[in-house]
Amino acid sequence: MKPEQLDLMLVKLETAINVHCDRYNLSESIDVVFLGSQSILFYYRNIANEFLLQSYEMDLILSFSPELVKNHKKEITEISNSIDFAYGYGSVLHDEEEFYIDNMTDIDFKVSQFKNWPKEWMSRALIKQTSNRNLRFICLNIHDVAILKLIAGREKDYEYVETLIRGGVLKKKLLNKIINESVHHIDLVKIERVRNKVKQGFFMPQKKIY
Amino acid sequence: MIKPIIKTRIEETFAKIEADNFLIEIAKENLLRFKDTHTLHPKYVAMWEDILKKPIAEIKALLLEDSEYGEVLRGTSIFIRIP
Repeated sequence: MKPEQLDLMLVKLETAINVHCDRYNLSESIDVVFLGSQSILFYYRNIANEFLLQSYEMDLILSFSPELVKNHKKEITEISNSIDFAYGYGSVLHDEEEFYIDNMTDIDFKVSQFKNWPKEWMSRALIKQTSNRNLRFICLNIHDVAILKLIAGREKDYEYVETLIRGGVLKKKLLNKIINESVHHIDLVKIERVRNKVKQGFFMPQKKIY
Repeated sequence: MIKPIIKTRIEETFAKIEADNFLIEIAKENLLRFKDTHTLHPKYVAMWEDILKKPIAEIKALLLEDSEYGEVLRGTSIFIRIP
């Protein structure tokens, strides 16, 4: 993705969610949480390494207030579905702008969507208030993105995090602090894998990429 | 798990290509453009160049795969703007 695609996406998302809030008279809070590899664009607009711009998808999760989940499940499911329809894979947006939104919202709302996430992730996130006072865009701190990637543990995730480490984007001290704080918060096997990968990553030669 | 709407859209795209094999040329042009504009990592350009040598039915199956590989293909898909 490119920085200008991110700007366009934010405008489109805000408009789409506002339309639904107006239609159903929803006044409770809605957060859009960005969590994937392309979240880096929120922090580094002029990033040079094309490996970080490898994907045409922006991962996000919609997070609704408990009141909305309890009283307006049908309406919020419709908001989620409308994002898939208008901006998801194979949408007009994908055709025209060459990127799409991967909406990872779990509309069953049975378990927390943020289970197994690093402790206190929200305190490190970038929070952008929109013109709608009930709607916020929240982008995970890139260190938290890296830890979620290592928890997922796919080959592409390791490559992504290694690139971030080698490029000097990730700070060892902060990564280790988050890992240590999350020990009782994340599955033990997974947290050990994360710890080992971080250790290995910082043994590699580094070259700034931003 | 691959979302039903994504599955449907991939199937619709490939139904068009199966009806008119020439439409695969659009995907090839997309790949060339991504390559020329450096908007796709060379590793994925090479991956798609290999995939495009396969029969259409096989490409469709790969894009529909519920796997890490399938996710990578959908995340870097060249099958856009197929009318």
